[in-house]
Amino acid sequence: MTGQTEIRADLAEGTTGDEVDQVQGYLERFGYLGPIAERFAAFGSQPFPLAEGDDLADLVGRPAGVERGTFDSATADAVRRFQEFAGLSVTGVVDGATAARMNAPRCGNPDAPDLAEFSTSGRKWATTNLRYAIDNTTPDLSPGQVTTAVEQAFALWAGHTPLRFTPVAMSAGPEIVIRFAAGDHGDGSPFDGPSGVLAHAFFPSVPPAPVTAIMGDAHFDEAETWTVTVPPAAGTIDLVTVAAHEFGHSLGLGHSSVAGALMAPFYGGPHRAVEADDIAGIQSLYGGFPIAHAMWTHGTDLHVEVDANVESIQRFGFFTRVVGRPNTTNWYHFAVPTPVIVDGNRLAFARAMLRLVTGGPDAVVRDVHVYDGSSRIAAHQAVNLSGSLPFAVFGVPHKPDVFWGAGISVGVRTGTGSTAERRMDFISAGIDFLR
Amino acid sequence: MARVRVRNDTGSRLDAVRIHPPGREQDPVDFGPVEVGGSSDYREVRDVRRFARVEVSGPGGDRALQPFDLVGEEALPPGRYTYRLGLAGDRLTLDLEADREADDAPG
Repeated sequence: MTGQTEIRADLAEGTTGDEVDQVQGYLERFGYLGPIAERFAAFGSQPFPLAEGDDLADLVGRPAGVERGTFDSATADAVRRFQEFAGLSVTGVVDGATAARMNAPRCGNPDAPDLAEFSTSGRKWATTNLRYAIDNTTPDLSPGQVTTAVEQAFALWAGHTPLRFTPVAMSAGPEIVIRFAAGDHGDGSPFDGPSGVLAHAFFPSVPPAPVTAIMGDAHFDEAETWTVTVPPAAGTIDLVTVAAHEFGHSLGLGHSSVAGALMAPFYGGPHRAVEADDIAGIQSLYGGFPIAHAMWTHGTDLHVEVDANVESIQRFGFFTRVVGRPNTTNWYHFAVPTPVIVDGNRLAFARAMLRLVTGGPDAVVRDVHVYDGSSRIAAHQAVNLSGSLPFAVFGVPHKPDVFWGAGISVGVRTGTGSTAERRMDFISAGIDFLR
Repeated sequence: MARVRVRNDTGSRLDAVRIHPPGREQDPVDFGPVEVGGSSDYREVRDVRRFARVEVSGPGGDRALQPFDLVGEEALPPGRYTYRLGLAGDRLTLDLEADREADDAPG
Protein backbone atom coordinates (compact mmCIF):
# COMPACT_ATOMS: atom_id res chain seq x y z
CA MET A 1 0.00 0.00 0.00
CA THR A 2 1.05 3.57 -0.38
CA GLY A 3 0.52 4.32 3.26
CA GLN A 4 -2.17 6.88 2.50
CA THR A 5 -5.85 7.03 3.36
CA GLU A 6 -7.98 4.93 1.04
CA ILE A 7 -9.04 6.69 -2.15
CA ARG A 8 -12.78 7.09 -2.58
CA ALA A 9 -14.66 6.34 -5.81
CA ASP A 10 -17.10 8.58 -7.72
CA LEU A 11 -14.86 11.60 -8.11
CA ALA A 12 -15.16 13.55 -11.34
CA GLU A 13 -14.21 16.91 -12.81
CA GLY A 14 -15.68 19.69 -10.69
CA THR A 15 -15.46 17.77 -7.41
CA THR A 16 -13.58 19.51 -4.60
CA GLY A 17 -12.30 18.52 -1.20
CA ASP A 18 -9.86 16.32 0.63
CA GLU A 19 -10.80 13.23 -1.40
CA VAL A 20 -9.62 15.01 -4.53
CA ASP A 21 -6.41 16.07 -2.80
CA GLN A 22 -5.90 12.39 -1.94
CA VAL A 23 -6.21 11.38 -5.60
CA GLN A 24 -3.91 14.19 -6.70
CA GLY A 25 -1.34 13.08 -4.14
CA TYR A 26 -1.43 9.57 -5.57
CA LEU A 27 -1.14 10.83 -9.15
CA GLU A 28 1.75 13.11 -8.23
CA ARG A 29 3.55 10.35 -6.35
CA PHE A 30 3.41 7.95 -9.25
CA GLY A 31 4.35 10.39 -11.97
CA TYR A 32 1.02 11.26 -13.58
CA LEU A 33 0.74 14.80 -12.30
CA GLY A 34 2.99 17.68 -11.41
CA PRO A 35 6.18 17.47 -13.51
CA ILE A 36 6.45 21.24 -13.75
CA ALA A 37 6.24 21.68 -10.01
CA GLU A 38 8.92 19.04 -9.56
CA ARG A 39 11.15 20.61 -12.16
CA PHE A 40 11.12 23.99 -10.54
CA ALA A 41 11.42 22.52 -7.07
CA ALA A 42 14.66 20.99 -8.29
CA PHE A 43 15.96 24.49 -9.01
CA GLY A 44 14.95 25.60 -5.55
CA SER A 45 12.27 27.93 -6.84
CA GLN A 46 8.56 27.93 -6.42
CA PRO A 47 6.12 26.19 -8.69
CA PHE A 48 4.86 28.62 -11.29
CA PRO A 49 2.73 30.68 -11.16
CA LEU A 50 2.76 31.56 -7.50
CA ALA A 51 1.14 29.14 -5.11
CA GLU A 52 -1.97 29.88 -3.11
CA GLY A 53 -1.10 31.96 -0.08
CA ASP A 54 1.73 33.82 -1.72
CA ASP A 55 1.31 37.54 -1.44
CA LEU A 56 1.18 38.18 -5.15
CA ALA A 57 -1.04 35.25 -6.05
CA ASP A 58 -4.01 37.45 -6.72
CA LEU A 59 -1.96 39.69 -8.95
CA VAL A 60 -0.47 36.95 -11.05
CA GLY A 61 -3.66 34.92 -11.31
CA ARG A 62 -4.35 31.28 -10.73
CA PRO A 63 -2.55 28.62 -12.71
CA ALA A 64 -4.36 27.07 -15.61
CA GLY A 65 -3.11 23.72 -14.41
CA VAL A 66 -3.50 21.78 -11.21
CA GLU A 67 -5.11 23.27 -8.15
CA ARG A 68 -4.87 21.03 -5.09
CA GLY A 69 -8.25 19.87 -3.84
CA THR A 70 -10.06 20.73 -7.08
CA PHE A 71 -10.72 18.04 -9.67
CA ASP A 72 -9.80 20.20 -12.65
CA SER A 73 -9.12 19.28 -16.27
CA ALA A 74 -5.42 18.64 -15.59
CA THR A 75 -6.39 16.16 -12.88
CA ALA A 76 -8.87 14.47 -15.23
CA ASP A 77 -6.11 14.16 -17.85
CA ALA A 78 -3.83 12.59 -15.28
CA VAL A 79 -6.56 10.13 -14.28
CA ARG A 80 -6.95 9.20 -17.94
CA ARG A 81 -3.22 8.55 -18.24
CA PHE A 82 -3.34 6.38 -15.14
CA GLN A 83 -6.34 4.46 -16.50
CA GLU A 84 -4.64 3.95 -19.83
CA PHE A 85 -1.47 2.73 -18.15
CA ALA A 86 -3.48 0.41 -15.86
CA GLY A 87 -5.58 -1.01 -18.70
CA LEU A 88 -8.82 0.43 -17.30
CA SER A 89 -11.62 2.15 -19.17
CA VAL A 90 -10.31 5.62 -19.98
CA THR A 91 -12.93 8.00 -18.59
CA GLY A 92 -11.07 10.61 -16.56
CA VAL A 93 -13.41 9.77 -13.67
CA VAL A 94 -12.28 8.01 -10.50
CA ASP A 95 -14.85 5.23 -10.66
CA GLY A 96 -14.92 2.07 -8.58
CA ALA A 97 -12.40 0.18 -10.71
CA THR A 98 -9.99 3.12 -10.77
CA ALA A 99 -10.21 3.68 -7.02
CA ALA A 100 -9.71 -0.05 -6.42
CA ARG A 101 -6.59 -0.03 -8.57
CA MET A 102 -5.23 3.04 -6.79
CA ASN A 103 -5.88 1.42 -3.44
CA ALA A 104 -4.25 -1.87 -4.44
CA PRO A 105 -0.80 -2.72 -3.02
CA ARG A 106 2.00 -1.63 -5.36
CA CYS A 107 5.62 -0.61 -5.33
CA GLY A 108 6.47 2.99 -4.56
CA ASN A 109 8.28 3.81 -7.80
CA PRO A 110 6.66 6.18 -10.25
CA ASP A 111 5.09 4.69 -13.33
CA ALA A 112 6.42 6.08 -16.55
CA PRO A 113 3.35 6.79 -18.63
CA ASP A 114 5.01 9.73 -20.33
CA LEU A 115 8.61 8.66 -20.30
CA ALA A 116 8.75 5.39 -22.19
CA GLU A 117 6.16 5.85 -24.90
CA PHE A 118 8.52 7.19 -27.54
CA SER A 119 10.32 4.79 -29.82
CA THR A 120 13.60 5.11 -31.63
CA SER A 121 14.98 3.54 -34.77
CA GLY A 122 18.17 2.52 -33.03
CA ARG A 123 20.04 4.91 -35.30
CA LYS A 124 21.46 8.33 -34.58
CA TRP A 125 23.82 10.72 -36.29
CA ALA A 126 27.46 10.53 -35.29
CA THR A 127 27.71 14.32 -35.39
CA THR A 128 25.66 17.01 -33.68
CA ASN A 129 26.40 19.54 -36.44
CA LEU A 130 23.88 18.59 -39.08
CA ARG A 131 23.65 20.30 -42.46
CA TYR A 132 20.51 20.48 -44.52
CA ALA A 133 19.51 21.66 -47.98
CA ILE A 134 16.13 22.45 -49.46
CA ASP A 135 16.33 20.82 -52.88
CA ASN A 136 13.08 22.29 -54.15
CA THR A 137 9.98 23.99 -52.81
CA THR A 138 6.25 23.73 -53.35
CA PRO A 139 4.17 26.06 -55.53
CA ASP A 140 1.75 26.27 -52.60
CA LEU A 141 4.20 28.54 -50.74
CA SER A 142 6.92 31.03 -51.49
CA PRO A 143 10.51 29.75 -51.15
CA GLY A 144 10.92 32.09 -48.19
CA GLN A 145 7.91 30.58 -46.44
CA VAL A 146 9.31 27.08 -46.94
CA THR A 147 12.71 28.14 -45.60
CA THR A 148 11.17 29.74 -42.51
CA ALA A 149 8.94 26.71 -41.89
CA VAL A 150 11.89 24.33 -42.13
CA GLU A 151 13.98 26.48 -39.76
CA GLN A 152 11.12 26.59 -37.25
CA ALA A 153 10.71 22.82 -37.41
CA PHE A 154 14.43 22.23 -36.80
CA ALA A 155 14.39 24.79 -33.99
CA LEU A 156 11.93 22.66 -32.03
CA TRP A 157 14.51 19.88 -31.78
CA ALA A 158 17.48 22.23 -31.40
CA GLY A 159 15.96 23.72 -28.26
CA HIS A 160 16.36 20.51 -26.30
CA THR A 161 19.49 18.87 -27.70
CA PRO A 162 23.08 19.66 -28.65
CA LEU A 163 22.02 19.45 -32.32
CA ARG A 164 22.80 22.39 -34.57
CA PHE A 165 21.12 22.65 -38.00
CA THR A 166 22.87 24.66 -40.69
CA PRO A 167 21.56 25.34 -44.20
CA VAL A 168 24.02 24.55 -46.99
CA ALA A 169 23.93 24.14 -50.75
CA MET A 170 23.04 20.76 -52.23
CA SER A 171 26.59 20.59 -53.60
CA ALA A 172 27.94 20.55 -50.06
CA GLY A 173 26.56 17.05 -49.49
CA PRO A 174 24.19 17.76 -46.59
CA GLU A 175 23.09 15.05 -44.20
CA ILE A 176 19.43 16.02 -44.58
CA VAL A 177 17.84 16.88 -47.93
CA ILE A 178 14.32 18.33 -48.02
CA ARG A 179 12.30 17.72 -51.14
CA PHE A 180 8.75 18.03 -52.42
CA ALA A 181 7.73 15.23 -54.77
CA ALA A 182 4.63 13.53 -56.14
CA GLY A 183 3.90 9.92 -56.95
CA ASP A 184 6.86 7.68 -57.67
CA HIS A 185 9.89 9.84 -56.95
CA GLY A 186 12.62 7.25 -57.10
CA ASP A 187 13.14 6.24 -53.48
CA GLY A 188 11.04 3.06 -53.52
CA SER A 189 8.25 4.68 -51.48
CA PRO A 190 5.93 6.37 -53.96
CA PHE A 191 3.52 8.98 -52.70
CA ASP A 192 -0.17 8.31 -52.98
CA GLY A 193 -1.92 11.49 -54.02
CA PRO A 194 -3.92 13.65 -51.62
CA SER A 195 -4.38 12.27 -48.08
CA GLY A 196 -3.05 8.73 -47.53
CA VAL A 197 0.29 9.76 -46.10
CA LEU A 198 1.56 13.33 -46.07
CA ALA A 199 5.30 12.82 -46.14
CA HIS A 200 8.07 10.44 -45.18
CA ALA A 201 11.61 10.59 -43.92
CA PHE A 202 14.53 8.24 -43.63
CA PHE A 203 16.29 7.34 -40.40
CA PRO A 204 19.88 8.55 -39.90
CA SER A 205 22.85 7.25 -41.74
CA VAL A 206 25.00 4.73 -39.95
CA PRO A 207 28.73 4.80 -40.70
CA PRO A 208 30.30 3.72 -42.99
CA ALA A 209 27.36 4.71 -45.21
CA PRO A 210 28.08 8.08 -46.80
CA VAL A 211 26.20 10.94 -45.21
CA THR A 212 25.10 11.99 -48.67
CA ALA A 213 22.93 8.86 -48.97
CA ILE A 214 19.17 9.15 -48.75
CA MET A 215 19.26 8.46 -45.04
CA GLY A 216 18.04 11.45 -43.07
CA ASP A 217 16.20 12.97 -46.02
CA ALA A 218 12.63 14.20 -45.67
CA HIS A 219 10.16 14.14 -48.57
CA PHE A 220 6.81 15.93 -48.66
CA ASP A 221 3.94 14.84 -50.90
CA GLU A 222 3.39 17.55 -53.49
CA ALA A 223 -0.17 16.27 -53.98
CA GLU A 224 -1.07 17.81 -50.60
CA THR A 225 -1.86 21.50 -50.34
CA TRP A 226 0.72 22.94 -47.97
CA THR A 227 0.24 26.01 -45.83
CA VAL A 228 1.95 27.96 -43.06
CA THR A 229 -1.21 29.87 -42.16
CA VAL A 230 -2.78 29.16 -38.78
CA PRO A 231 -5.56 28.22 -38.61
CA PRO A 232 -5.17 26.46 -41.93
CA ALA A 233 -7.89 26.61 -44.55
CA ALA A 234 -9.92 23.43 -45.00
CA GLY A 235 -7.99 20.74 -46.80
CA THR A 236 -4.58 22.35 -46.29
CA ILE A 237 -1.75 20.87 -44.24
CA ASP A 238 0.56 22.76 -41.89
CA LEU A 239 4.09 22.40 -43.21
CA VAL A 240 5.77 23.36 -39.92
CA THR A 241 4.02 20.56 -38.04
CA VAL A 242 4.65 17.88 -40.65
CA ALA A 243 8.26 18.97 -41.13
CA ALA A 244 8.91 18.85 -37.38
CA HIS A 245 7.44 15.34 -37.23
CA GLU A 246 9.46 14.16 -40.23
CA PHE A 247 12.67 15.67 -38.86
CA GLY A 248 12.03 13.63 -35.72
CA HIS A 249 12.34 10.57 -37.96
CA SER A 250 15.37 12.08 -39.71
CA LEU A 251 17.02 12.29 -36.29
CA GLY A 252 16.15 8.70 -35.38
CA LEU A 253 12.80 8.79 -33.62
CA GLY A 254 9.97 6.40 -34.40
CA HIS A 255 6.32 6.95 -33.57
CA SER A 256 5.14 7.62 -30.04
CA SER A 257 2.10 6.06 -28.40
CA VAL A 258 1.47 9.26 -26.42
CA ALA A 259 -1.53 10.85 -28.11
CA GLY A 260 -0.42 14.45 -27.60
CA ALA A 261 3.18 13.97 -28.72
CA LEU A 262 4.49 15.52 -31.91
CA MET A 263 5.77 12.04 -32.82
CA ALA A 264 2.33 10.46 -32.41
CA PRO A 265 1.39 8.89 -35.73
CA PHE A 266 -1.61 11.02 -36.66
CA TYR A 267 -1.71 14.60 -37.93
CA GLY A 268 -4.37 16.62 -36.15
CA GLY A 269 -3.71 20.13 -37.41
CA PRO A 270 -1.01 22.62 -36.38
CA HIS A 271 1.13 21.36 -33.50
CA ARG A 272 4.22 23.54 -33.44
CA ALA A 273 5.78 22.24 -30.26
CA VAL A 274 7.59 19.23 -28.87
CA GLU A 275 6.07 17.62 -25.81
CA ALA A 276 7.66 15.91 -22.82
CA ASP A 277 7.61 12.53 -24.52
CA ASP A 278 9.28 13.93 -27.65
CA ILE A 279 11.97 15.58 -25.52
CA ALA A 280 12.57 12.35 -23.60
CA GLY A 281 12.87 10.51 -26.91
CA ILE A 282 15.29 12.88 -28.60
CA GLN A 283 17.41 13.25 -25.46
CA SER A 284 17.65 9.45 -25.22
CA LEU A 285 19.53 9.67 -28.53
CA TYR A 286 21.52 12.90 -28.24
CA GLY A 287 21.31 14.00 -24.60
CA GLY A 288 20.79 17.57 -23.48
CA PHE A 289 23.36 20.29 -24.00
CA PRO A 290 25.85 21.75 -21.58
CA ILE A 291 24.81 25.32 -20.84
CA ALA A 292 27.87 27.54 -20.66
CA HIS A 293 25.98 30.60 -19.53
CA ALA A 294 22.39 31.68 -18.94
CA MET A 295 21.02 35.20 -18.66
CA TRP A 296 17.54 36.31 -17.64
CA THR A 297 15.80 39.62 -17.45
CA HIS A 298 12.77 40.51 -15.36
CA GLY A 299 9.41 41.16 -16.92
CA THR A 300 9.66 44.75 -15.70
CA ASP A 301 12.22 45.36 -18.49
CA LEU A 302 9.52 44.93 -21.13
CA HIS A 303 9.37 47.36 -24.05
CA VAL A 304 6.10 47.96 -25.88
CA GLU A 305 6.17 48.47 -29.64
CA VAL A 306 2.75 50.10 -30.19
CA ASP A 307 1.65 52.08 -27.15
CA ALA A 308 -1.71 52.89 -28.77
CA ASN A 309 -2.70 49.21 -28.68
CA VAL A 310 -2.23 48.97 -24.92
CA GLU A 311 -5.22 49.62 -22.69
CA SER A 312 -3.20 49.55 -19.48
CA ILE A 313 0.27 48.65 -18.29
CA GLN A 314 1.38 48.13 -14.69
CA ARG A 315 4.81 47.19 -13.40
CA PHE A 316 4.93 45.13 -10.20
CA GLY A 317 7.95 43.86 -8.31
CA PHE A 318 9.19 41.43 -10.91
CA PHE A 319 6.65 41.40 -13.71
CA THR A 320 4.70 43.61 -16.03
CA ARG A 321 0.96 43.26 -16.55
CA VAL A 322 -0.29 44.48 -19.92
CA VAL A 323 -3.90 44.59 -21.04
CA GLY A 324 -4.15 44.91 -24.79
CA ARG A 325 -6.92 46.82 -26.48
CA PRO A 326 -9.61 44.55 -27.96
CA ASN A 327 -8.92 43.09 -31.40
CA THR A 328 -5.36 44.32 -31.67
CA THR A 329 -1.92 42.91 -32.12
CA ASN A 330 1.31 44.13 -30.60
CA TRP A 331 4.95 43.28 -30.12
CA TYR A 332 6.67 43.21 -26.75
CA HIS A 333 10.46 43.22 -26.66
CA PHE A 334 13.08 42.10 -24.16
CA ALA A 335 16.75 42.99 -24.41
CA VAL A 336 18.54 40.21 -22.56
CA PRO A 337 21.97 41.07 -21.07
CA THR A 338 24.42 39.16 -23.24
CA PRO A 339 27.88 37.88 -22.33
CA VAL A 340 29.49 37.87 -25.78
CA ILE A 341 32.86 36.53 -24.70
CA VAL A 342 33.47 34.57 -21.50
CA ASP A 343 36.93 33.39 -20.39
CA GLY A 344 38.25 34.27 -23.83
CA ASN A 345 35.64 32.19 -25.63
CA ARG A 346 32.88 33.56 -27.82
CA LEU A 347 29.52 32.11 -26.75
CA ALA A 348 26.81 30.80 -29.06
CA PHE A 349 23.04 31.03 -28.77
CA ALA A 350 21.24 27.87 -27.73
CA ARG A 351 17.66 28.85 -27.03
CA ALA A 352 15.33 31.49 -25.65
CA MET A 353 12.92 31.02 -22.77
CA LEU A 354 9.86 32.88 -21.59
CA ARG A 355 7.86 32.78 -18.39
CA LEU A 356 4.45 34.40 -18.64
CA VAL A 357 0.76 34.04 -17.93
CA THR A 358 -2.07 35.18 -20.16
CA GLY A 359 -5.72 35.61 -19.30
CA GLY A 360 -6.65 32.86 -21.74
CA PRO A 361 -7.43 32.56 -25.43
CA ASP A 362 -8.14 36.28 -25.68
CA ALA A 363 -4.46 37.01 -25.02
CA VAL A 364 -2.40 34.75 -27.26
CA VAL A 365 1.35 34.66 -27.85
CA ARG A 366 1.30 34.30 -31.58
CA ASP A 367 4.96 34.64 -32.58
CA VAL A 368 8.30 34.59 -30.78
CA HIS A 369 11.40 35.88 -32.54
CA VAL A 370 14.97 35.74 -31.27
CA TYR A 371 17.57 38.30 -32.35
CA ASP A 372 21.30 38.84 -32.18
CA GLY A 373 21.49 42.59 -32.58
CA SER A 374 19.43 43.29 -35.68
CA SER A 375 19.74 39.74 -37.10
CA ARG A 376 16.80 37.45 -36.56
CA ILE A 377 18.21 34.03 -35.65
CA ALA A 378 14.98 32.17 -34.87
CA ALA A 379 11.34 32.71 -35.80
CA HIS A 380 8.67 30.69 -34.07
CA GLN A 381 5.56 31.70 -35.99
CA ALA A 382 1.92 31.05 -35.08
CA VAL A 383 2.75 29.12 -31.93
CA ASN A 384 -0.52 30.34 -30.36
CA LEU A 385 0.25 29.92 -26.67
CA SER A 386 -1.99 31.08 -23.87
CA GLY A 387 -2.64 30.41 -20.20
CA SER A 388 0.20 29.57 -17.85
CA LEU A 389 3.57 29.26 -19.59
CA PRO A 390 6.00 28.42 -16.79
CA PHE A 391 8.96 27.62 -19.02
CA ALA A 392 8.34 28.01 -22.73
CA VAL A 393 11.40 27.11 -24.81
CA PHE A 394 12.17 28.51 -28.26
CA GLY A 395 15.12 26.85 -29.94
CA VAL A 396 17.60 28.53 -32.25
CA PRO A 397 18.21 26.17 -35.17
CA HIS A 398 21.74 27.21 -36.22
CA LYS A 399 22.98 28.12 -32.71
CA PRO A 400 25.14 30.91 -34.14
CA ASP A 401 27.96 32.67 -32.34
CA VAL A 402 27.00 35.74 -30.32
CA PHE A 403 28.08 39.06 -31.78
CA TRP A 404 25.88 41.89 -30.61
CA GLY A 405 23.32 41.08 -27.95
CA ALA A 406 20.21 39.00 -27.49
CA GLY A 407 16.70 40.21 -28.03
CA ILE A 408 13.41 38.37 -27.70
CA SER A 409 10.29 39.75 -29.38
CA VAL A 410 6.88 38.42 -28.46
CA GLY A 411 3.99 38.97 -30.85
CA VAL A 412 0.62 39.00 -29.12
CA ARG A 413 -2.93 38.95 -30.43
CA THR A 414 -5.67 40.27 -28.18
CA GLY A 415 -9.31 39.27 -28.58
CA THR A 416 -12.51 40.83 -27.38
CA GLY A 417 -12.79 39.30 -23.90
CA SER A 418 -12.89 41.05 -20.55
CA THR A 419 -9.97 43.00 -19.14
CA ALA A 420 -8.89 39.94 -17.15
CA GLU A 421 -9.05 37.78 -20.25
CA ARG A 422 -6.95 40.21 -22.28
CA ARG A 423 -4.15 40.52 -19.74
CA MET A 424 -0.59 39.29 -20.16
CA ASP A 425 1.73 38.94 -17.18
CA PHE A 426 5.32 38.94 -18.44
CA ILE A 427 7.44 37.38 -15.68
CA SER A 428 10.85 36.96 -17.27
CA ALA A 429 12.76 36.22 -20.45
CA GLY A 430 16.08 34.45 -20.81
CA ILE A 431 18.69 32.98 -23.11
CA ASP A 432 20.84 29.87 -22.71
CA PHE A 433 24.30 30.07 -24.27
CA LEU A 434 26.78 27.45 -25.40
CA ARG A 435 30.53 27.68 -25.42
CA MET B 1 -2.81 -11.55 -47.54
CA ALA B 2 -4.31 -10.46 -44.20
CA ARG B 3 -7.86 -10.15 -43.01
CA VAL B 4 -8.95 -7.03 -41.22
CA ARG B 5 -12.12 -5.92 -39.46
CA VAL B 6 -13.19 -2.84 -37.51
CA ARG B 7 -14.51 -2.75 -33.96
CA ASN B 8 -16.59 0.24 -32.90
CA ASP B 9 -15.73 1.38 -29.37
CA THR B 10 -16.70 4.99 -30.02
CA GLY B 11 -19.98 4.71 -28.13
CA SER B 12 -21.98 5.77 -31.19
CA ARG B 13 -23.22 3.89 -34.21
CA LEU B 14 -20.99 4.50 -37.20
CA ASP B 15 -22.87 4.77 -40.47
CA ALA B 16 -19.76 4.16 -42.54
CA VAL B 17 -16.12 3.26 -41.95
CA ARG B 18 -13.47 3.40 -44.66
CA ILE B 19 -9.79 2.54 -44.23
CA HIS B 20 -6.99 3.30 -46.66
CA PRO B 21 -4.24 0.68 -46.34
CA PRO B 22 -0.96 1.19 -48.22
CA GLY B 23 -1.50 0.86 -51.94
CA ARG B 24 -5.21 1.66 -51.65
CA GLU B 25 -5.03 5.32 -50.68
CA GLN B 26 -7.42 6.27 -53.47
CA ASP B 27 -9.45 3.06 -53.20
CA PRO B 28 -10.38 2.61 -49.53
CA VAL B 29 -11.67 -0.59 -48.01
CA ASP B 30 -15.32 -0.05 -47.07
CA PHE B 31 -16.39 -1.70 -43.82
CA GLY B 32 -19.96 -0.36 -43.99
CA PRO B 33 -21.95 0.59 -40.90
CA VAL B 34 -20.72 -0.74 -37.54
CA GLU B 35 -22.97 -0.87 -34.47
CA VAL B 36 -21.87 0.32 -31.02
CA GLY B 37 -19.60 -2.29 -29.48
CA GLY B 38 -19.84 -4.40 -32.60
CA SER B 39 -17.39 -5.48 -35.24
CA SER B 40 -17.57 -5.46 -38.99
CA ASP B 41 -16.98 -8.49 -41.15
CA TYR B 42 -13.39 -9.23 -42.10
CA ARG B 43 -12.09 -7.85 -45.38
CA GLU B 44 -9.02 -9.08 -47.23
CA VAL B 45 -6.18 -6.59 -47.40
CA ARG B 46 -2.81 -7.08 -49.06
CA ASP B 47 -0.77 -4.88 -46.71
CA VAL B 48 -1.62 -4.14 -43.07
CA ARG B 49 0.26 -1.64 -40.91
CA ARG B 50 -0.42 -0.33 -37.43
CA PHE B 51 -1.80 2.89 -38.88
CA ALA B 52 -3.86 3.91 -41.88
CA ARG B 53 -6.05 6.79 -42.92
CA VAL B 54 -9.52 6.21 -41.48
CA GLU B 55 -12.75 7.97 -42.38
CA VAL B 56 -15.93 7.50 -40.40
CA SER B 57 -19.44 8.91 -40.67
CA GLY B 58 -21.47 9.07 -37.49
CA PRO B 59 -23.97 11.16 -35.57
CA GLY B 60 -21.47 14.00 -35.14
CA GLY B 61 -20.72 14.13 -38.87
CA ASP B 62 -17.66 12.94 -40.73
CA ARG B 63 -14.28 12.48 -39.05
CA ALA B 64 -10.92 11.32 -40.32
CA LEU B 65 -7.66 10.17 -38.85
CA GLN B 66 -4.77 11.26 -41.03
CA PRO B 67 -1.39 9.55 -40.53
CA PHE B 68 1.69 11.67 -41.07
CA ASP B 69 3.51 8.75 -42.64
CA LEU B 70 4.28 5.07 -42.19
CA VAL B 71 7.94 5.57 -41.33
CA GLY B 72 9.28 2.63 -39.34
CA GLU B 73 5.98 0.76 -39.60
CA GLU B 74 6.60 -2.70 -41.01
CA ALA B 75 3.98 -4.66 -42.94
CA LEU B 76 2.41 -7.10 -40.51
CA PRO B 77 2.49 -10.84 -41.24
CA PRO B 78 -0.55 -12.57 -42.72
CA GLY B 79 -3.27 -13.14 -40.16
CA ARG B 80 -6.40 -11.58 -38.76
CA TYR B 81 -6.44 -8.12 -37.26
CA THR B 82 -8.94 -5.75 -35.70
CA TYR B 83 -8.72 -1.98 -35.99
CA ARG B 84 -10.37 -0.74 -32.80
CA LEU B 85 -11.95 2.69 -33.22
CA GLY B 86 -12.51 4.75 -30.09
CA LEU B 87 -12.88 8.31 -28.92
CA ALA B 88 -10.67 10.31 -26.56
CA GLY B 89 -12.63 13.47 -25.89
CA ASP B 90 -13.88 14.32 -29.35
CA ARG B 91 -10.81 12.87 -31.02
CA LEU B 92 -11.04 9.61 -32.95
CA THR B 93 -8.49 6.97 -31.92
CA LEU B 94 -7.26 3.86 -33.70
CA ASP B 95 -5.55 0.79 -32.27
CA LEU B 96 -4.66 -2.40 -34.08
CA GLU B 97 -4.93 -5.77 -32.38
CA ALA B 98 -3.90 -9.16 -33.70
CA ASP B 99 -6.79 -11.61 -33.43
CA ARG B 100 -6.60 -15.21 -32.46
CA GLU B 101 -7.80 -17.44 -35.27
CA ALA B 102 -10.98 -18.39 -33.33
CA ASP B 103 -11.99 -14.77 -32.64
CA ASP B 104 -14.39 -14.61 -35.56
CA ALA B 105 -15.82 -18.08 -35.09
CA PRO B 106 -19.61 -18.18 -34.61
CA GLY B 107 -20.89 -18.36 -31.06
